Amino acid sequence: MNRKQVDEKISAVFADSVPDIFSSIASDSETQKGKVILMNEKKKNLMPIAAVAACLILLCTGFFAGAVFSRNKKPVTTVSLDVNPSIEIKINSKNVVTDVDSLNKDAEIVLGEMDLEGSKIDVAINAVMGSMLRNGYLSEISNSVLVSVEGGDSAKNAQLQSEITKWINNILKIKDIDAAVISQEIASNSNLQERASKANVSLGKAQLVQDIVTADPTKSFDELINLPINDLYIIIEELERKGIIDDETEDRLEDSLESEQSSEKESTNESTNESASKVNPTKEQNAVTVPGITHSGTASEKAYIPRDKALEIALSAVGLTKAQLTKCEVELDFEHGKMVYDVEMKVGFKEYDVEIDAVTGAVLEKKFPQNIASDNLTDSSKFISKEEAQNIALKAAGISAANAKQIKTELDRSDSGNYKYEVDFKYGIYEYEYEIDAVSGKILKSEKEADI
Amino acid sequence: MVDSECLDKLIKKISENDKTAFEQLYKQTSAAVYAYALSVLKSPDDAEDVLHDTFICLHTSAQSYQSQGKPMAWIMTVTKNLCMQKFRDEKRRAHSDASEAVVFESPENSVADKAIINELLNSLSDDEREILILHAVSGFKHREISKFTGLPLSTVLSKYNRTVKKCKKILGEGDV
Repeated sequence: MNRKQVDEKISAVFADSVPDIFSSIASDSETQKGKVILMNEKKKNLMPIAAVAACLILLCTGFFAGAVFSRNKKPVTTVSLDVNPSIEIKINSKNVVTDVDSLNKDAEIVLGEMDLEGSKIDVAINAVMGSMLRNGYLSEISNSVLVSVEGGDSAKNAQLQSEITKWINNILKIKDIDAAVISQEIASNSNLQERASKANVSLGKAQLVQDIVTADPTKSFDELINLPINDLYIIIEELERKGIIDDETEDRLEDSLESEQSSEKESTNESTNESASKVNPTKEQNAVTVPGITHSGTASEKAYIPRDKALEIALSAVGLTKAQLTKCEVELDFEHGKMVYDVEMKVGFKEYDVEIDAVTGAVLEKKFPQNIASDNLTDSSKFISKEEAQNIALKAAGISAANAKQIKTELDRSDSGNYKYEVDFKYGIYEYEYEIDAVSGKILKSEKEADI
Repeated sequence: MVDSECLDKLIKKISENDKTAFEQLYKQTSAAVYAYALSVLKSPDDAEDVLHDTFICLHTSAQSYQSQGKPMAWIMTVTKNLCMQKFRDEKRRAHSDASEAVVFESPENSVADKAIINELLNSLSDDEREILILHAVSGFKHREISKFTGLPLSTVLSKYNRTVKKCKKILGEGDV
């Protein structure tokens, strides 16, 4: 039985066990639609209330931005603009500005003496963007704007988002700047609102940061919340790039696992080695890692040294030349409280890691291959052969190769990074599993189980 | 395995109050929702409640659903959140006895299936079961499971492999 068959069997078992309650769901969902809630009904009819409450909680988690259930209330929409200045503009149903709030000091500078109340939203956005340009918050080196829309109905919000994106693009184009706009629809969330207020940013920015942190748990909310949108956008782009790489790595891993399973006699030495080789970061489909946002344009990296330059610095720091590399990745990331280039270079199985300050080009950290694991990697000729590993296991079990059935030997990498052979075989009703260190030939683990 | 594009279309139709589409969605995804709920909550009754609530919630929120090509992720997130809520509710009621073995009883199932589900509930760890169900029934890729559960991809892969090995045994026994 291979992995696919296991999946299929499990899937079939559950498909058979699902209770058929669709008719009850269908009728409850209808009740929900008409908002008729009969208080004296039995338990099942109260479920929709719980479900709606759960939906509201769900909305607050920001998984799907938007959706407003209070259709009866007159919609008042809040549009917030974040660059580094965070500004909140409230508009009524006719898109007329009713209130403008500056959330931080930068925003106060941007708004100055402007009185935007009573003007149309497009006029207000124009004025605010113009002031951001004049005051240098938007420029060639910082071209990213976050637009968040809260309240109102979803369709209208989506339209508003795309219109605002268009306006911003047009305004920045006058100054020959290619705008990068992230837009999102958000739902109110008192918990997040509190954190946003504390950091003097809009709820939208807090939501964006939370989404980033969810996608990349190595980041922390507090360290990101005060970064300008431009840097956040760079981080998002970098995350999405990583998402693509993960995708490919996984496919390859799955392939190699699958091939191990199907051709049990084939050596896996090669496939494990291959999975460490090149990654092609050009594939672009389904690369969404931060849900709920749409974005256009590319965040400017002009505030930072160019990527080639970062690679050059990294190469000279470890004493390598570009021609020697078998693989390299240059990532712009936020670490240790600043934007850094993380340059990963591989020569064969040796991995070099250099961190460079993205502004000054100073080398912050370099890592040479040093642990035993990577030393082992450098020379797979140090590995004992598959047959040797097999013989060690068979000998330990006291079984001759002729008597053992379904012998399977795989090269695998343990958690500590060392390579080991996994030898599985059957003898009679027993299933044996051995783990043999790929270099020393030492038995790391042995298991014997009756397979009835 | 369910096709994302097809699900997206169904969700869109549901937002236009298409009842057939809703039923289709239920047919295609209820196993994933129920299996996940059962694997997390380990109680057929609670799982049925979550199955019910999830589809009510999907029905209500279909209008606000924004396709990112991952409808299954959306559905499973709704399920997960409702499971978490159920979990909290149960805790408040404060008589959960986690140590006791769970017995899955359902009149609809064959004896063999019941035995398999019971084995899955009792002999796999929570993580293992979650990963297995997300992969086998929801059709998630390992990378998506990693995102969904917050576990590193390498962990998901190794746990999945271990789980499959265990499952081979469970299924082997179930077949006999």
